[in-house]
Amino acid sequence: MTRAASAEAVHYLRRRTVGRAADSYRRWIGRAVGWWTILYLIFWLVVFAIAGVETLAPLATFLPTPVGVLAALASLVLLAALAGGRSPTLTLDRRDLYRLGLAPQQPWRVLRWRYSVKQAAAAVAGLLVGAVWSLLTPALFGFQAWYAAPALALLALVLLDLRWLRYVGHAHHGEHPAKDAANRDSLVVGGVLLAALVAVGVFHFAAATVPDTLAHFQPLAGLTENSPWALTLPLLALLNTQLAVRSSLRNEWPPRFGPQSLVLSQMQALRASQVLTLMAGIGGGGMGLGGLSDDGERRRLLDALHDRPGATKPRRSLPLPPSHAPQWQALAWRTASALYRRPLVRLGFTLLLALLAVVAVLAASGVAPAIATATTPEAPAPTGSTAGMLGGALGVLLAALFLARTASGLLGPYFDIGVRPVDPLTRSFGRALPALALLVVLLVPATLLLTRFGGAGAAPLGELLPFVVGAASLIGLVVLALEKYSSWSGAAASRIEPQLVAAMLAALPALLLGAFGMGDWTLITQFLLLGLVAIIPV
Amino acid sequence: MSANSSRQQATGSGHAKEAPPIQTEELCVSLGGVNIVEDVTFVLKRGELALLTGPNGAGKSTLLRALVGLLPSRGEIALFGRPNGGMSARERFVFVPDEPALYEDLTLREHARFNALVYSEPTADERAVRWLEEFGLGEKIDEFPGTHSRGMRQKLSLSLALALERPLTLLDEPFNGLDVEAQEQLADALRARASAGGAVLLTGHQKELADRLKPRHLELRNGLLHG
Repeated sequence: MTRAASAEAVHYLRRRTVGRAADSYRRWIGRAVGWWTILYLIFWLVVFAIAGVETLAPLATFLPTPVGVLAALASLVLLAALAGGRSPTLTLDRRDLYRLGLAPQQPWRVLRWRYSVKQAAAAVAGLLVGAVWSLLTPALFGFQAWYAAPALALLALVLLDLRWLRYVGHAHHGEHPAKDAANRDSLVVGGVLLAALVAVGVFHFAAATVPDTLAHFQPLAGLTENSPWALTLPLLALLNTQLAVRSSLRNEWPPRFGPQSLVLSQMQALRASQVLTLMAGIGGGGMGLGGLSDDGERRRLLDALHDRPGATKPRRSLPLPPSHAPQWQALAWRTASALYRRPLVRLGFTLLLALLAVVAVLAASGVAPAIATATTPEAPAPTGSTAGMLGGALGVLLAALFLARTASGLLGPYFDIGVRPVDPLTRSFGRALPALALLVVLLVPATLLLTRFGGAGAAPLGELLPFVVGAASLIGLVVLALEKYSSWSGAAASRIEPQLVAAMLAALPALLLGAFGMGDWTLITQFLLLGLVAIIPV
Repeated sequence: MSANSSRQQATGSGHAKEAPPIQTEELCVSLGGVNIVEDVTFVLKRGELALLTGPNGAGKSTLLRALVGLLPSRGEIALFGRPNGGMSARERFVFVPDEPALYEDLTLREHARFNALVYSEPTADERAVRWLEEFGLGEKIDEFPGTHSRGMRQKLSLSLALALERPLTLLDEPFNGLDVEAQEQLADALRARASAGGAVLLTGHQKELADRLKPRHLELRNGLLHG
């Protein structure tokens, strides 16, 4: 085998695949957006940028150069890079892994194209940030820093290399020459940069003057000095790390690179599909709660990435429903399981949002004015409707919308009845039950919270009960309407459209009856509407 | 690469000449803390054709992936006496995964050329085209594989592997998706490869496979190797 022939294979592949992909992309952008539109946008972006720079007026008193802050920030970024490296910074997709990764190809040759793309992205990011810095420094700090862009680009490339080297260091178990070399190189370069940054910070905070000749050679000199010597240290560091990266990929792949690549490719595909569904308007954040099934899959993939037990079996499981359990119980169990298997932090976040949503609904239902009345007898009595302290019916609408967005993350995975012998009412009840149960239970702490912040003492329970019941009916209306509308229309519950429909339907009694001066009828109308929504078979 | 060097590659040279194509010692593979393959010790000799069977989830694919260095493992794996992840080992084997790994934007002919370039085996290009014709894909040689059926994609994947004259061929469920004629062609090809001194290790379920190939039978059950 000759090295030239090896390189030719990868070039052959990239010429065709990258060329064809770029051509498809060019044609797609041309059709979807139009290249003249893009050129037009770029033209105005440049005009605005130039105009923005020209309007920058120097400050009357220049700000002190933030050397210490910059050194501290850079140290943190560097430490994070050195402490990380549990997963590869770049990957091979399945085809490249099997066709090139297992072939007698030097790993560096196989990875070079992807590494170069990553490097280009890092360099462009560094150049952009550096260019903005160079444009701002004369006006804000009173000095020129024309080498900031190349300096930051070089440092970004060094960081990229250090992350890869740390990964190689972690990937090999036991004694291995590649591991030792990667650890040595990353720690030497990282250590030198870190020591220099710490020294800069110490000098700065000690208000000591650093000799000019030394100041030019510190890692962040490009940001504060206007001299090409400022590029010396980043350039030397980059040369060192580049040699080390190539050396780490001379003969063999890091042991877990293959499986981790496959997992990361799947995660990339998952992210891409989420972005595409968002762009197409069929996804949605749902306050970070939506897409339960994707959430579980992402979690499983993350566990697979780090070879943790969650990759093969769930970390937490609810007891299975008995085999003779009714259908609604199976659906409720499915929803509750998906919620229960969330990572603890996300689960806590979900509960917190749900509590806030219930507090908002309670407040809108009139609990707060009732408390105010109980603690300050001279205050006007509430009307006993759901038009409470958030500004009457508008408050109800806003609270219901907040609740709908929160509830969208509590409905569990979408369940398509298809040809299954499942009644739509059973599906709705089963899917909505965990959310309803959770939100109704949260009425207790939410009422206590409102009582505590609404006045000095607790209001009598008898006086609060009608408002709590009103809030419960509002919760039922929002959750059931959201489930039914999203299932009927096919629009994901995490989209704003079903949430708006559910919120408007729930707020309808308060809006209409309030407008006609019949606020007292709101509660009973809400219950009637809830009953009606519950029995609609969609 | 000349025919001589090709032959030399197929039979191995130097240190690799004496060492068996596959030798494992107490090989263990675990995924997510679960042991999939445990204490597998076996040797595959030159000219041997071995069929690795076992129920679904027994760890057949996992074992194959570990052998070629796609999965980290404990214990010893040596391919021709060399560490399985290194370049010198990769020069001596070809691996066919259970699901074809193909480039959707390369035609069948381009796949053949690319394959030959990757393995620095210029004649593999023509051989792959011949295999594609044997498998009945001659007319589709300038098409992208994206629109092809599972079986056609599998035939392409196999053609690329069979075109390479490597001393060790590892195939994961190679008969899946193939029509009866192609199954027979593949079985003949694998037998011929073993007769020529190459080593072949494949996985499969079908009993008729064993009848057709007359292989050395290895069975994985609960992560343990029998046979």
